[in-house]
Amino acid sequence: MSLIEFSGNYTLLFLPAIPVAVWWIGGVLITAIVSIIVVSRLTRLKGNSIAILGPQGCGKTSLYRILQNRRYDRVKDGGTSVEEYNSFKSNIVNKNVHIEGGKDIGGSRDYVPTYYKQMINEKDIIIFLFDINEYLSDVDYANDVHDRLDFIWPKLKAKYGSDDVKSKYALIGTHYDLVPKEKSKKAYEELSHRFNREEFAGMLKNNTILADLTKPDNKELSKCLEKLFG
Amino acid sequence: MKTILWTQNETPTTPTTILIDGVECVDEMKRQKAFALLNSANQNLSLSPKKREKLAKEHKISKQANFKVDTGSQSVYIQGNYEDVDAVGRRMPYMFLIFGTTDIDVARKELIDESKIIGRICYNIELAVLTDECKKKIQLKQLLPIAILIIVIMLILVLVNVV
Repeated sequence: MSLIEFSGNYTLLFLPAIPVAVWWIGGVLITAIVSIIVVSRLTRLKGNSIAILGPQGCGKTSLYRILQNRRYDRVKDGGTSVEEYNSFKSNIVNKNVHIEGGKDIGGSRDYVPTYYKQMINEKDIIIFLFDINEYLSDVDYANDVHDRLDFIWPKLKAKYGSDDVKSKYALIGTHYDLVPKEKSKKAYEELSHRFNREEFAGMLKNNTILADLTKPDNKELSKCLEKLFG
Repeated sequence: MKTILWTQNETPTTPTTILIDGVECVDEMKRQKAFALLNSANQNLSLSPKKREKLAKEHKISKQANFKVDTGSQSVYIQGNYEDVDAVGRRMPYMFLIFGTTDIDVARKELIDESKIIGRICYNIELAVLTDECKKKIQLKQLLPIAILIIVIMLILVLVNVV
């Protein structure tokens, strides 16, 4: 009754008049609603964390846009230094996949010693892109790709173990449409030949595709992503 | 070290350019140190992904354009894209860090001047948008204590009235 005396004309006046049962039901309902919100939020936060790595201009941001169900825009996107993104839902082969927020980092070699190591340690899935046209036509570019894979491969194997690593990464040779016709049929063969001389030769046996990321409804790419997120 | 400017070049096989205090740095150790400073400065930038998305749509600027004014370390960090494009037609990115100031106008002027040294042109619309956003944030920060004070006074008045 002290509340009534204290509150005077205010709305708190009616509170003690509500039956105890109503208070109980209200309390249970509020607890249930809060629990549902907290649980759904926590479940929503769990998802796949990804790292898309590779040299400058290989299509990293394009692949992020594909996963975000958006189109890559040369003006708005431009070249990347570092761009933070929020978590998002991705539709991969008619399946909704939750991708955790992270950073899209540029292709500069400056990022390799620090960011690559951090990404491999922290992320669930690693996708390495390289421009297959540049790879086949420019020795310096090919050497740069090899240096990066030399860095990545032992760390991936150490993280997941030799057997589990297969489902955790993909290797995508982009700009396949730009490879001259006379070279394109033997591109994979050439890639295989060059990789076989390297420490990371084992990488090619798994989820590797040559693709044109600008092509709509790219079946090869869909299959590759399905293997990763399936 | 007062300023650091990092930018990519036209082709993937050309190394990036790093200017320290307006002078191109080729010493690998110094480059790595400068790059590490840029990367520690670009954590928790001022504009959220959602805000950047909105600004990019409204002003046709790049989605990664962002900034941070750090009063603790007395520095301003700006990232964005030049008007100059790379071999595949994308506007080339830059990251810029200046110590000893928290004034976005000073940082902007220094960035434009240092970019000229390497023959790069800053995208003026983008820099203007970032400067505006920075000033809005500063104004908001200045108004916040006043708003809190007004709310506290109002609460006190209500309580006094009730009692």
